[in-house]
Amino acid sequence: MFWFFKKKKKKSEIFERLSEKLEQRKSEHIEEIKQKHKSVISWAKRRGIRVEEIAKQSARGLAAGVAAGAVIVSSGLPISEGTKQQSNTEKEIRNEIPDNTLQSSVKVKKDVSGEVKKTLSGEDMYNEKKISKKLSETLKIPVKVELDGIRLNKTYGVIGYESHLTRYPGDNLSTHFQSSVDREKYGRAGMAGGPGAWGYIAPSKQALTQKDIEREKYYLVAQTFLSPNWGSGEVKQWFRHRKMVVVNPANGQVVVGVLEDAGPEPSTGNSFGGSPEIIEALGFAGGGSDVLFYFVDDPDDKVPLGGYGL
Amino acid sequence: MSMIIEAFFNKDNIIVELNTLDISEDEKEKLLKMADELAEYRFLNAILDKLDEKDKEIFLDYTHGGTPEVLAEFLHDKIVGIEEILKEHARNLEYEILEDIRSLKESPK
Repeated sequence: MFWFFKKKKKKSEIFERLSEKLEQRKSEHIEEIKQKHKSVISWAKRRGIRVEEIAKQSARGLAAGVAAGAVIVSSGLPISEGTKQQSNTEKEIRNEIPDNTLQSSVKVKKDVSGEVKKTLSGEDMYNEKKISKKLSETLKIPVKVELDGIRLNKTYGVIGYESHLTRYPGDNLSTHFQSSVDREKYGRAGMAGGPGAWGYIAPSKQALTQKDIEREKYYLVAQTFLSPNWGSGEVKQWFRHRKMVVVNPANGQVVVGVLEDAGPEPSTGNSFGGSPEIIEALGFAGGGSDVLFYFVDDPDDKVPLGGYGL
Repeated sequence: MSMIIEAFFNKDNIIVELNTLDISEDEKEKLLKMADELAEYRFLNAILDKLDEKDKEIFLDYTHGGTPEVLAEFLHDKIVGIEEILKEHARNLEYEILEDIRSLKESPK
């Protein structure tokens, strides 16, 4: 009844003085980071994050990382073995400047975006027959709704921004990118903590080919499990590495990629997913929107992956 | 968070020393939490000191999105004897905090 007369318990003086000292030490550490580690400041600026926030988040990440390291070391396993054991459901990040033998070729192609945008203008995006015909004519490649009697559940819908896939056991941020530019550009997307729905693209780093690299770089995700043909192991395998063409009808950007993972969950509202490189090639900044998503009939593997041009 | 404390930062002596103070359990908990936070910053500084500029950025990338396992692997690759380095920083921090507590006890005002 007289609770409102109760005096709030006063903090003890010694507590206040001690907490003040600890706070002061913390501020000194933050100041030291600012003074000594200029690259941390520029890293923070580029991402629009306050240095204090960086330190806080880094300290937490570090805490977890160091603890994980301690756990792995204490288990007697080498770190790489411990890393291999991690769950496929986790997400993993890692960058590396890998060996120089893995170089992708760059060719100048004719930009088709204007033509594609024009040809799709005013069309019903759900008219699969008409859209696939128009795309085949404009892109000069066989664009199909259905291939070998198999189709996806959708050919038009929202594409989501996916993380990088782990291409082989042990692939991570240190091993993933071919250049520091790529790492800077795409590293922030993080990595899926495991392979796609069909397993690793390559069995090991040594076995990784340029083709494997390209496949991950331009990988796509579709709801294969919602395909009307879904149900057998053969169909599941048929979807693996299946070449697709993705078109952003709003700007006419076209990219060719391959299916390397199944998803997204229907509850997300997205119908497809794309690697960070795919999303960028489509002209979406950090997120996705509606795209056309069709098979490319390319049995001889002639159509290159990546941004499409003629 | 508690994992790193268990792994490197032993607060047993700090707890013993705090128990000699006339402070509430709530205040004691808050101080221990601050000590943990301080340990994190201390470790962060120690790690950054050992990395070159390029690796600092990679490290920040990892801490802002990587898994603990990958970060651990990176740190072990880049910093020889990282456990010992962190243990030493943890010991120094423990000593400093104990000194703070003792000096407050000796000069209450």
